[in-house]
Amino acid sequence: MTSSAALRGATRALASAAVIAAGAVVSQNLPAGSEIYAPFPVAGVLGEAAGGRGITATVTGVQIAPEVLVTPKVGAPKSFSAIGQWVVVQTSMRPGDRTEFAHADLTAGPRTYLPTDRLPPGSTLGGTIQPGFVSRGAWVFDVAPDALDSAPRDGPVTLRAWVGDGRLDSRLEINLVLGDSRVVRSQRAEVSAPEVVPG
Amino acid sequence: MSVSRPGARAQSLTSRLAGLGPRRLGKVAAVLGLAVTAAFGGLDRVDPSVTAVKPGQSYDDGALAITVKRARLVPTLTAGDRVLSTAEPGSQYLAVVAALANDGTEPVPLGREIDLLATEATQVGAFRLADGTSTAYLGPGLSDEFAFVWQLPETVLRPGQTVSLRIWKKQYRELMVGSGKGWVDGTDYGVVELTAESRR
Repeated sequence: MTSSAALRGATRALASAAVIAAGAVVSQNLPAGSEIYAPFPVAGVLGEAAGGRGITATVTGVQIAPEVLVTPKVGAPKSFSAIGQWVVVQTSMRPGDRTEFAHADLTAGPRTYLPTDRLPPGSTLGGTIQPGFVSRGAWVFDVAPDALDSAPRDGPVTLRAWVGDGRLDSRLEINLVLGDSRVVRSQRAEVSAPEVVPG
Repeated sequence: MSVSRPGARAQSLTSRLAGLGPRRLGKVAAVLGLAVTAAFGGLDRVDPSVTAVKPGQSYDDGALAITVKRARLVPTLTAGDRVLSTAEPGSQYLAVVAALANDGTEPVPLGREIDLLATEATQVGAFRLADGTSTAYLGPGLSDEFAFVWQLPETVLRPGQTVSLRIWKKQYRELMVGSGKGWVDGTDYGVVELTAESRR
């Protein structure tokens, strides 16, 4: 082997090592998928419509109670107890110009809550929303009581709502001021099956 | 003092590699492969740490503090006087009662919280002990007792026999598939062994 051929081989090996090392550095410093595809927040407040791509929602009232009485479309009303406290967020929602699948969660400071799955199916919001119609109903969350002080020590309580998988899309973030007169604390909240009306 | 030319040094390295033979070359390739793997984040451990957990003893799995209390074989699932489900002939339900506490900030799925180390068992779900409602998650800041239920043939497990349960340590991290974060099982786990109580 000539010295020039050996030099070319060594150069290739060094270049390959440099590319692999650079790849390792890049792979260790890539932004996380949850950051790359993060939704675009749209701020909203209690009682006013918040609109983003694919969804417009208005929170009309909030109930906080240890018990909830659910009146389904079919069958007798039934009461359910919370592990913590029920937070019932009365909401009206409509999509843009096509059918969408609506989701929501509730944040209380650093904590995140999913809608409860302990109530009868169809008694709460969640699912498809149709263009030309307004869906009125409740998102219901089972929340730790210490997250629901009038002045939450860990930060605000926020309903977040979006459609589809939420990636690179609007996410409504509606601040629920717990001292507001439309936030009612009682021993028993009431939930009725969602209704869909033209609008 | 002697000075060697770069070409001569490269030629020397090439010659030495050529003289190593297939087995040594394989070892060199394996070491290089491990070095590159380490540079990209390394490999997971393959020797899991196993913790023996006694019934009634709290175990922190990274997501929940879980205390497995008892296991009972029953022919029917009930909540108070309400019958939730009756097992088919020849099968039965195993209900494992555990107290859970979520001291974190994210909801924790309950569907894969406890693995029953038994074949032919089908997981039914997790039910809140207080009212029999089924749920798939426990929210942050909440604690309660739940029954984890499986359906299995009567011949697989009889009253008085030992039930082995595995509780995986979990991490909340970026998901490899799709986007977003979620709870992912690690390699370490706790094992709880308890006696199946007789059906009522």
